[in-house]
Amino acid sequence: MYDSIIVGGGPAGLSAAVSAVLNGVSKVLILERDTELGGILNQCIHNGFGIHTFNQELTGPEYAGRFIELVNENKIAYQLGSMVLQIINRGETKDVIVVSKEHGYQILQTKTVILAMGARERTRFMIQIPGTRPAGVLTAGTAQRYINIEGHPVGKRVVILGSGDIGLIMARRMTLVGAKVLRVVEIEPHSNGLNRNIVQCLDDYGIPLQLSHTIVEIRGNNRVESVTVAQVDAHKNPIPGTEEVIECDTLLLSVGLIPENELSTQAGIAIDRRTRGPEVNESMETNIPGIFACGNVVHIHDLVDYVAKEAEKAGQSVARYLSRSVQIDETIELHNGNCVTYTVPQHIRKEAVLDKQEIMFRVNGVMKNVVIILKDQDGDREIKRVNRLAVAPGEMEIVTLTKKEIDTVNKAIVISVEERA
Amino acid sequence: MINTDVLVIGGGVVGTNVLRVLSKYQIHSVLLESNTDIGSGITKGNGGVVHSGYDAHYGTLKAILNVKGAAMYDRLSKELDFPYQNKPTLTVAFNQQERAKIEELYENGKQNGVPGLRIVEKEEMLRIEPHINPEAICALLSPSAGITDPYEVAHACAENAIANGSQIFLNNRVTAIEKVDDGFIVTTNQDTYHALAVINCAGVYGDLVAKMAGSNDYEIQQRHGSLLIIDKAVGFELDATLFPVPGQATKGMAAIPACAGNIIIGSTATMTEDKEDRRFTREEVDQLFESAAKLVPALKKNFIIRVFNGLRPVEMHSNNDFVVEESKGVEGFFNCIGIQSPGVAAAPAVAEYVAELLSKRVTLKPKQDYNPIRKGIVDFSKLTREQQKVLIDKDRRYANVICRCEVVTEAEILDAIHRPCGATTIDGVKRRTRAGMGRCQGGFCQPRIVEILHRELNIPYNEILLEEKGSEILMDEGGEA
Repeated sequence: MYDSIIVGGGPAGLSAAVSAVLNGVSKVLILERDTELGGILNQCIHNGFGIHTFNQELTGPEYAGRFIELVNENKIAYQLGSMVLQIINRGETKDVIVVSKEHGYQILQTKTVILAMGARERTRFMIQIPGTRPAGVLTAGTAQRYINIEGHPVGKRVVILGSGDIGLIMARRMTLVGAKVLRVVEIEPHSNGLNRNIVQCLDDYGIPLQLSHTIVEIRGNNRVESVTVAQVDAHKNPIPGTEEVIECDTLLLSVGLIPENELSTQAGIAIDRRTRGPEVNESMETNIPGIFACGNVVHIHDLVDYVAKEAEKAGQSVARYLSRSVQIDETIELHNGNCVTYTVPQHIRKEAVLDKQEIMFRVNGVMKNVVIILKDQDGDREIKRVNRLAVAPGEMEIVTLTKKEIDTVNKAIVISVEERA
Repeated sequence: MINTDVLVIGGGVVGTNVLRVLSKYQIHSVLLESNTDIGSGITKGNGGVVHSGYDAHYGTLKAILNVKGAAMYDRLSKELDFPYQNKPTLTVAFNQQERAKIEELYENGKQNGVPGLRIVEKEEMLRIEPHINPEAICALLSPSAGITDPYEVAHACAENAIANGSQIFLNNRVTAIEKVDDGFIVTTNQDTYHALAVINCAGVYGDLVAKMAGSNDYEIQQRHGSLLIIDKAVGFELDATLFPVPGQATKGMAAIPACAGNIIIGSTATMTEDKEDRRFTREEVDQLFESAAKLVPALKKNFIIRVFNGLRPVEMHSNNDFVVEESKGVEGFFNCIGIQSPGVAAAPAVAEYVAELLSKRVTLKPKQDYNPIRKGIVDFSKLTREQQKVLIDKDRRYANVICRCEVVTEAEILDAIHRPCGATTIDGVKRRTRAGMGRCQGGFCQPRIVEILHRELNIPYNEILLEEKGSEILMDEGGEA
């Protein structure tokens, strides 16, 4: 019987495992489907990771390496090449069905599970880019794996759709491996990537960023021959007459990530429509007691540091759960207010809050000089207000409430963002 | 020069069914396919409905072969171990005008000999398929219809024919056909073949192939159709294929319960001159979705995981009927062309019908040792946990999951590659195992499958194809193996 089984050996899983063990959990097992620990970090060979956690700029593999060292120092068990087929909730315990070449078919029993499966990339079909279906249309992450892990170039003349960080990083990477990146096309009127990435990945290499544009057609029956770019209106609809055909052999897509929750859904875990991840409480625990979740499987993060921190919390929570130190008590809900698209956690058990509680959320548009207002829904009473110079959908926001502030709330907290007068 | 008795041109669902029927007899038969894989032309761009035959006009060859072919599927799928489920179709009427139309269809179907056909009123309709829009008033129920994966039918027939002595040559595009005293000399981009008789199953190229043999009577144009695939995660499955009341040219945009549990919506219909038209437009996606959502309001657009399309070959001088006949003036040259919808349902019957025509020219004596049985690739994801365990205990490669969305293992992929006429491309593996068909569309498994194809078939990385020549995925210099 394990105390905790962690599904996924990426940054969330590793950080959660280390945290659980450091908080006194003894029998922990990490299940990783790839042949190495580290998850997607292994293919992120650029630097810029770990500024918050390690106060240093590390590459992805280096960042993962720090956690892998801790896993090894603490003698945390892990199985590689191991795919979890199912998690079955049996109340006090859970069964994890996992298969691997090394161990065959296993049913592992555990008191707790931490879900850390990460996310998958949205594809060309999810956004329904019309045209043909040739080779040469790849998600940015798949291209990154081909180039950085497998060592295969994937294209020579490249257009990238989506200027999130993955798209920007891949624009530079493709250039460095000898491809010509013709442009990065972004449907929004602004980039969702970090400013430093726009400078270091596009500007430094003279790669144009075309805002308020999208791809309206892919051509070529076998390999991509061209894509058609068009300007979009305020509703993101292509404007007729603005089409431009760009000859290229490759289209990379960086059009968003979706939390990977097939296992969670199958196990009966409630999924938040907004995040497409499990609904969690203040302890990163799902609606099934003893099953926790952290990282991109819960909601999409901008920085791996935030993933690690959230996972640390999940690890601590597992320790508290196992020591039975949390009494289930009054729950308050968190609701979207003006301009807010989701919150994590979705609810808070007042008694379980230690000294403070972080609330993560995103907004639905770019705004400058704003104030974040947290109100008690009951009586419309203001709990807290925090000023920010700017907010954007591409940047996760965090506000911290003290236990004292939370204790004053009756039923629900509404978070809204307003422009300051 | 390769000598054979009967040469089949085209390895789609029609050609492979024909080859399988030929393999029952004491003759040698060869199939030529221009693509890298069988079933990879218009066969792969099909929605997979085994139509029961109420729609084809009474008295046409299409109607006869449709009803006959559909009735063959149950047995065929058991012999050949391909996915087939008997699932009814419901043609749904929303008003009295549409009721009148389905009454016409009912009469037509009854004349065609479609078994069990009847009109069901709202209450029963909703009992059969509760996801139908409750605004609908009644439906034509056709209980003998079914669903299949057409390319799986082609694989199964091809493998079974090979097991019974037939040969298949891929990557062979026919460039010339010469009528000689003792049959035909067929030249391809690769080789020359001599045959006593030729059966033209070349799909949208059927007219051009016939022309090479000196038969100028045919003209094939294409009716292009796009289809959508809805993620299983949408949360419900359908128990029946749902059609709207049909329009002029097609049976309309249906919501189809695909064998794997997804819902397929399809298809649109537009005539095109381009025999390789593989485009889809945003308008088509919207049109498909809106049409299906009228039938099934619970469908959600953000669960679309794939858009694909296919072409229906329409013979322009046959009033939309199939053409299965010996070419006038070209003795020994047979055509199975214009096999538009319901071609999948009809294909097994088309094959038997053309064999009957052929028997007037070539002696067809049954083989004593003909084996009708073919075993398909194990579908690990569909097994019970206990069965999965047994399999893994025997072969650990079943414990190596390559495609996470569809749960496809290394053992299944190796089987797909190494069986006769096996997969050599990413899409070939996909059609045989479903690896890459799920919601991530190969983002996770494609690099892993590239590695397996490279390792197993010794294909240099930069020559690994998505589908056809020219669809290389990687751009390594030099092509080191």
